[in-house]
Amino acid sequence: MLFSRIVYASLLVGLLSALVLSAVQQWQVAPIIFAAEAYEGAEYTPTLAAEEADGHSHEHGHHDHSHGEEWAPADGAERLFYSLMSNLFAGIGFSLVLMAIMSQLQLRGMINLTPAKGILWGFAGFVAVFAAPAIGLPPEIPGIEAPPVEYRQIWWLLTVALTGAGIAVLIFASIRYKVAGLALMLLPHIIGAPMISGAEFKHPDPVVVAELTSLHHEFITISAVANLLFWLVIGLASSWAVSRWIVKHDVVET
Amino acid sequence: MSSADINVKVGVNTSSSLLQTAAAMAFGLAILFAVGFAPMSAAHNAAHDTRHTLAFPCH
Repeated sequence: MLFSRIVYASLLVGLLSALVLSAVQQWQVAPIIFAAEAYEGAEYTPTLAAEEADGHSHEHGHHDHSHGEEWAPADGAERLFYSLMSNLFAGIGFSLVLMAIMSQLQLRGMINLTPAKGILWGFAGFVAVFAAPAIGLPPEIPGIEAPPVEYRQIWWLLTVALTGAGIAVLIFASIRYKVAGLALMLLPHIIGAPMISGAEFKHPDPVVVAELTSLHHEFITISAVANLLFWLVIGLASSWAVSRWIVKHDVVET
Repeated sequence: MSSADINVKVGVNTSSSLLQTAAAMAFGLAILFAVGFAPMSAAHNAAHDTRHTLAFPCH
């Protein structure tokens, strides 16, 4: 059954992509997150949030931050475990979506997947899901000032959907309509991402603000590398799974 | 011979394949929502570092 083959394949593709993502994340990305959190003030670290629940009365800072007194994994092994599991689910989720689209197009003979084309699919995924939204909403480190999360989520979803649709039109539509693909990709940036007026970091110490700004720039670069590798693995492994098993199997079976 | 030609010959049911790939896609989107968008604090805290790494809007 097509559905179950896509689901089984997504477990493998998700695992492969999550391994790559987790390696870069734990080696390069997480240290920046931890460094930024250290400046956020003690009350925001997950371990202390657990202590607050024990009944310490406590003032919250100026952040509209949702860590609060809810459950959070303790720093160290527990936090690592939840991050690895989240990476795995993210890999499975993205590969399900990508392989569903690939399988449908491959079945209809609209594409003929090869490893090289798989890499291009992965790159398209990187552009649609990471690069395009990052133009308006750069990857964030903890402690950064930002507009309400709901507004950013709506713009993010809009941008990912329109960029994905735009890439599809650019590649699959006839030459006359390709300009419409470009228009779709530009539209979210013409609308504009939600922005804040004022400083990105509200820490009172200018030395800390300079340090956070430098951490932020470093974070944008390394998260771009992590996402690019993540998507190239998803694209390559998905194209292999679809062309060698998911769709091929269907043809033989029927 | 492309896979489409084969499909025509052997009669792959296209509406069933459309339904099944749509279901796989919906399943993937549901997982992504849970990892990247679910507003519950526990979900946010568990997936915190992943949300930041993938540049999902966070906090």
